[in-house]
Amino acid sequence: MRRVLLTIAVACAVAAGATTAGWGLQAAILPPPAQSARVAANAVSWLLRSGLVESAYRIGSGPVVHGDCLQGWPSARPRRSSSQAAILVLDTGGTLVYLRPGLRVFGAGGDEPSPLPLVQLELGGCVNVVAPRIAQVIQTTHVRVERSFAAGHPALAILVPTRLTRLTVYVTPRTFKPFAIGVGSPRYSGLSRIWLIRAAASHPARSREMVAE
Amino acid sequence: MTGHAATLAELPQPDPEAASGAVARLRGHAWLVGWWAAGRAVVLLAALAVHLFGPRGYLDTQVRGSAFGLLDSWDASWYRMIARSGYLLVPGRQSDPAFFPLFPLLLRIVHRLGLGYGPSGILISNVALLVALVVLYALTRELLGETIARRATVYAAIFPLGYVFSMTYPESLVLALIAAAGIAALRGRWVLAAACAGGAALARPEGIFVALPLAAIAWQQRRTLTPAGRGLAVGAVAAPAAALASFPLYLNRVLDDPLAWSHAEHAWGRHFTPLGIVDAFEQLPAQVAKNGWVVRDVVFLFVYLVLLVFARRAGAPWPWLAAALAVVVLPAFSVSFMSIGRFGLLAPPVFWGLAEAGRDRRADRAIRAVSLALLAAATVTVPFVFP
Repeated sequence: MRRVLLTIAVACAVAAGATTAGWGLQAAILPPPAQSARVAANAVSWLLRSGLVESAYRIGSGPVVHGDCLQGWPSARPRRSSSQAAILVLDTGGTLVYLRPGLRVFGAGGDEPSPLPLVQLELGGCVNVVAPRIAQVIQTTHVRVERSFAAGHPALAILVPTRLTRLTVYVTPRTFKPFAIGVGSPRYSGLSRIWLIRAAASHPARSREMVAE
Repeated sequence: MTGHAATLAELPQPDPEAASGAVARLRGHAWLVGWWAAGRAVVLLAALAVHLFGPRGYLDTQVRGSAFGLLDSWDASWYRMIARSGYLLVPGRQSDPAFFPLFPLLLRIVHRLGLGYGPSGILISNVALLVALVVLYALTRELLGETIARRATVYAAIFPLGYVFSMTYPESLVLALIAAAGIAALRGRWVLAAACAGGAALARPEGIFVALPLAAIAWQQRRTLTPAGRGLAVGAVAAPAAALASFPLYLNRVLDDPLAWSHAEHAWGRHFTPLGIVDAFEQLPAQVAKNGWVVRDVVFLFVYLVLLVFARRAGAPWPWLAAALAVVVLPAFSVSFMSIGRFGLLAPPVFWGLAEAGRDRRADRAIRAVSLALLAAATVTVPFVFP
């Protein structure tokens, strides 16, 4: 019996040693991720968990526009492309449809991308527009996060420079949930307040309604 | 003065016999070093030729900018990213927790010595391959005899997909650790076997399958081992799983998500299902239409299966074959054949099977010539397809 117990004890010690050594090596040698990158990754996570984003934004000194931006596309298109679409319905009567890849924006006076519809989609908090931009910056450059103030609240500002615009996503300092977005481009700039609504089962029906509208 | 002389005389003197033994051993391995050098020369020259004359393929300018940038492409960027900035799961996107930690860990250590990340990765891989060949030779000689061991080692050094052994990828390191774990276990050095097996599992998930041959060796030695020795042997068998467990624990520490690896793999389109291999064959035409290079991996899957049959004919032990089969076939259960050609490099029985196929002198010469030619050709494909 003692011999069996000795065998078991030694085996457990070796296994525990393997786990401890593996963990210790990783903890001692690999760097932890930068806090700014973690903030940005958390913001992406919040965005991806929402199916709908409601927004109120103003471009320049224009009027406040309310928008609903839904992820996905209700048609029978291949799943991949439909999940990368976004539909932004504005209370002014306009609808912007964004399809990746190819950055096509419909409903804005042509298929070619131009700063204005992009600025609108970004201010509308469209997940499939904003989240990939943040993710791209996290993985390619050093993401910058600054303490800031937006929509009357303290915030962390994630600075996301892109090819056409300068995007700033404001997140709460504790949970890193996005609640405001600032966009600047050579011709347009604006600020929006956004509300993330979780993805729901009624999502496809809602998107059909929005497109029908 | 006399006192000093007496002290010097008391110091342990180098043993001329031991020294000459080491030199003899080194000389005895000269053929192995020669084949390693020949194989690596083919890969490095092909990489240099691509750098100088193209083709450009999908490689970015940064990769094309250095002489051996080709060998530091594709997944190399993920390993560099981990070594430089640590792990970070970016939801909904391919991200670095899909890659195991041992290789980036070594990358970071060598980088700290003053070498850039790119050269560090290439240096580690090529040195690890030399070690892998030495231990593969020792393991094969112990299991299957001298002639098979020599041929298997030569074929491993010049295997057509062996350009991966020179890239900033962990394959050569894992092959070295798997073979080292096997030979250490056969010689009853179970602590070393545990360390190597654990290391293999921390470098690539396939490393965990080395537990199968280790378990068989431990079972064979059970009557000769003391109770403590048996404990060491059982511990070595458990070491790959135990070491593997440290990865989610670490991810939990830095990312608050012990399943970050699984989430990252999902973004890569890999998810294991019981009927995954059936689905993989069903989806093969669509996969081929999307990326014709997948045919290469399907071909290698079947080549590996045939080589495992040859390895059995050569007398390869079943546990090694079972582990090799797991390494080669299991990835197809993730509904994809992609990279199976590369994964098979981690299975020593693949090289044993090839050595058996090269038993005939003419076959041996043909395999060597074709392997060298294919190695050069395959290296040139790197700009177009990830290994």
